[in-house]
Amino acid sequence: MLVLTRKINEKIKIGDDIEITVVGISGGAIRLGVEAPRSVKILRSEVYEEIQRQNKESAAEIDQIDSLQKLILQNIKLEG
Amino acid sequence: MSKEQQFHFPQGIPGFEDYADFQLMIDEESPLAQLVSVENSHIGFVLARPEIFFPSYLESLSEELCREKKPVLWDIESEESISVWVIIAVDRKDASKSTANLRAPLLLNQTKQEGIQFIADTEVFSSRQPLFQTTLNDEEREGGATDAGSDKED
Repeated sequence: MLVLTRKINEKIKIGDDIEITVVGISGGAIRLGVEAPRSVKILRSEVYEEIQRQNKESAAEIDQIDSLQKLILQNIKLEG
Repeated sequence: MSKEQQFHFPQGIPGFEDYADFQLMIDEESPLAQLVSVENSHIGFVLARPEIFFPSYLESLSEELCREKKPVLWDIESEESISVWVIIAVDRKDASKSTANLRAPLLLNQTKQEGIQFIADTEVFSSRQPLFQTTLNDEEREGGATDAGSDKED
């Protein structure tokens, strides 16, 4: 991993069109500003990891999907 | 009535980044659909039309998409050709406890036959929103504020 030291308002550049600025530091937290093209996905890593985990939990074997879908449909009828 | 449509997910689906092609199986009359990997028979999802279960969701999502000016595989202004589905985590022991991932809806561009799982950068949407709101939960959540629509106070 490349490790750099930056002060407040200093930047790093990644490739041609991504720039990260240290906007503020307080206590143990650092505020970062990211400038990047709209097509670049920027997320807190833990959010992406939560969605990965959630997708893995939700995924099922293709031949089980029908029966899982039926479970939900039965429940809709019960509620309705 | 039922139809199949194939979508290409250029970024894959988080957790399954290696698979880019999925088949959507819809029944026009059903609030649910299925999304299965074309390449791997172990990967299938139950999807729901979010507006059926969460009537105000699409409006909130649309605001969020405008605010973030993302996803963006496509120009979001061409909204009319994009359909929105959410992935259901089916609770196999008690289906009434199943949840929907409102934080990361699937946006499917019908015209381009492309899809992405958009991850909202806000805590407003839960990735584990209960699909069925039982009366008990409503009471727990709102205390006495659920008078409207409650006909049990005879």
